[in-house]
Amino acid sequence: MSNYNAYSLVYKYPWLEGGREIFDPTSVSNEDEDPIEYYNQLFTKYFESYPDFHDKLLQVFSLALDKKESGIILTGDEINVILFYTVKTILTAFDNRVMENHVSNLISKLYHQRLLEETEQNLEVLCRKMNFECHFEKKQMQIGNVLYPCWVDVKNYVPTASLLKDSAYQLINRNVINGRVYLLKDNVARLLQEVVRRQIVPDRQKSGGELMDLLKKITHLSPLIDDITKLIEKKKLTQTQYESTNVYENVDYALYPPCIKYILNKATNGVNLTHSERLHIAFFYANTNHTVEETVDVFRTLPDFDEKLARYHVEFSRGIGGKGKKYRIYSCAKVKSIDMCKALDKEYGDIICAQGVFRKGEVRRIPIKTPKDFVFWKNVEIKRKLREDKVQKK
Amino acid sequence: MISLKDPTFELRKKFILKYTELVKSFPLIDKIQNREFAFLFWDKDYMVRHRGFSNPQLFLSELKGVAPRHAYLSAALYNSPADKIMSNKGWMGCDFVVDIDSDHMDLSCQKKHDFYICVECDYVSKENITKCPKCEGLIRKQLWLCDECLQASKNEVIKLVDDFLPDFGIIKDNIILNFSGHRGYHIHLREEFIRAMNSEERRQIVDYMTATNFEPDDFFMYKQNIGSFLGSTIDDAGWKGRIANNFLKILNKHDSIESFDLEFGHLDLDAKIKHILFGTDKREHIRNQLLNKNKYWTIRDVGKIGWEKIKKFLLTISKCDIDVPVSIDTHRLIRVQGSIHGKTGFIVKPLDYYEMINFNPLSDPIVFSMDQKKLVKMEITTPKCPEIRIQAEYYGPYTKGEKIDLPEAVGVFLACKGVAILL
Ligand code: SF4
Ligand SMILES: [Zn+2]
Ligand SMILES: [Zn+2]
Repeated sequence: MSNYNAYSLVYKYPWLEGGREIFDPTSVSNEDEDPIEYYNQLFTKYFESYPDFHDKLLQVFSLALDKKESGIILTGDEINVILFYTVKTILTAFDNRVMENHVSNLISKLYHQRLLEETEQNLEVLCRKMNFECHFEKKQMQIGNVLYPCWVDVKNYVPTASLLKDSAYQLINRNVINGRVYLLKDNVARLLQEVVRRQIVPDRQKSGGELMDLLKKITHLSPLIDDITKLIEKKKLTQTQYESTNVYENVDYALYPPCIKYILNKATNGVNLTHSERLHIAFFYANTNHTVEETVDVFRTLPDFDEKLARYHVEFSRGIGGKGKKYRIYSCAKVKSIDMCKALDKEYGDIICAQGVFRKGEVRRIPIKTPKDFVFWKNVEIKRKLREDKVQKK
Repeated sequence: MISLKDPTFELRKKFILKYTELVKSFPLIDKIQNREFAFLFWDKDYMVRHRGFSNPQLFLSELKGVAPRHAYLSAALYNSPADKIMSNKGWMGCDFVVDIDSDHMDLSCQKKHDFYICVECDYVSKENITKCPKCEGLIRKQLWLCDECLQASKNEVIKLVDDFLPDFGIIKDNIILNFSGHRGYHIHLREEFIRAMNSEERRQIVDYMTATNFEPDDFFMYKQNIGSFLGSTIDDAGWKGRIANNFLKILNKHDSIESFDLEFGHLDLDAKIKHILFGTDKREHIRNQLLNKNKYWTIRDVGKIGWEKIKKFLLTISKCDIDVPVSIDTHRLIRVQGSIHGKTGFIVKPLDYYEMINFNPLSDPIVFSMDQKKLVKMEITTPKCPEIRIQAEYYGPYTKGEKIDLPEAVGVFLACKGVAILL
């Protein structure tokens, strides 16, 4: 059967079962072992047996930050596993979503290429190991003039395809027959690429300062960390540039309605947005004097960020290119109907949303109709408070 | 003497009595211990939520005790369904519910029987207005039902089950259907894989059902250079095949404009296109192209604009008319099967697919008495009370102030609709 034994497979695709056992620095082993000593031993071994390891690692980050999609040659041996997990560890320590997106882009594209070169037989094995059960049949399925070598159950297809924002991969645009989605080999590789992207993304629980302090104490890693820090500075990818508290915490942010704040917070935390959330942000920004750049920047921190696609969607929402139709902001009724209203949310809720506002001459609060109403009334409220404060001070 | 009695008082009494009877043979609720329940009562205008019951007996005794106007349960399953904080409930999955209701459809009968009425001055409008143009009073929506709209929602269910569910590998023997008690049906899909889906994944299924984001690369567009429409063939898979097959079906079925109009007259297909497709020998011509599996569709005199109209029409008749937010929402509340719908007095009836085919929604879900010997006294309170069929008889139309003796089920229906009071 397959000429793949478990090991050769893991060396080529380190996230598969068994890869972590070969080398995963984020999983500190023994409780009473001194972590510094443990890491030092671990990395010394590899940096010394592979003298160009430092350069290769740095190259990954430098190419990624230049938004390159190739340029690294993946090997199929132990060093490939070490490279994969070291990159992941460094990403975890830096906790910089922008860098993370660039790096996961590069890595997943490299593996996409590798997957394309696999035989169908091997691809089938890989799919199974990556929980994307895919069946290659001896007798290909002819649909129209095209022969399809494999199929995936709708139930397995949908979760993976929804990681991809590309409309060509939406179920409605696929060849679906009796619960099966028929695919070409290229399609399979493209879908697996998204699964790979999820694998390189750091483990949030381990992110941050503590791990970074530790890595800086490792003889061989410390110079690498410095080099990457310099790269980041050169590219101006400082974390704060995209951090919610710093970008939005100006008057504008205070005026944002709860439903929008909630989504922004999700985005800055690197959590993928749903389709409706993306549209809500795009329409809201388009209708509140934000530039295309500002809007694209919101999406920049998302794991599946694809600059070209994001730009296209944002421009689409403004009627630039595409169908030329400018879309109106979602109404509160619409937002509520898709369960995205945060009027009553503990953290983001606001009385303007929950109970409405006193319009001129009204004795009761009247509900607002759109998130834009919120901006208007919040502005009124803030100005009134400022006035009141002044009066009090006098 | 002026009566200050609550107009729903008598109605409520009837519900209490009826529930005492109904709980004796109440349909089983799947995973009752993991569902959140919610009730709307007669005297409160907010919903009581976050109720949980560890077994059917507890639920039924509560139901009997409170006899709510409306009873709901969550499509979602939770570890602690009664927890008041959503994030603490422990989401375990959610049925995929398809809500098919003629409310969302554009039907000619609605123009005849739906009204918008001012609660202050009885001004009656057929348009969906929100404020009275005469006195600025609040508007009450008075939505009615008839065989036509009930058939329309049934047709949509059949389309969903026959045309779409097989594409997802779901067979009709496995689905759970409820007549909603009003103008439609709820279809619950409970396959494990579908229960586990998040909203984003559900959206792919919903888009598939509703022809949303249908962007088949280069297909379904007019090719100026060759003067043909690049369509699809009846052998194609998925939506491509669906459109070609539906096109062929319609061409086979209708050989005149009159016959076409009988089925699709309510949809606005351009008169000229209709004439070309169903009133000339071009019908045979395009039919042959489809039968010969030619993906290029050519009709003389039909250019880019004409083909766009045909495409739009084919998409409209091929897609399923469903209430999208219901299916995408993973925390949705749905009517409890076996409960009484507070706007009709009809029961929310569980059915299998084959029962649904023969189900008569104006007869079969009637639970109140039709006994001619036990009539109830009613007074009509609305300026417009259209005719309604209940079982074999037609009742109404009535005028405001009219006092009539009616079978209990009819009286309850009118009282639930808010167009009459039980005296
Ligand atoms: S009320 Fe409107 S603006 Fe406020 S959170 Fe809800 S949808 Fe957003
Ligand atoms: Zn009025
Ligand atoms: Zn009707």
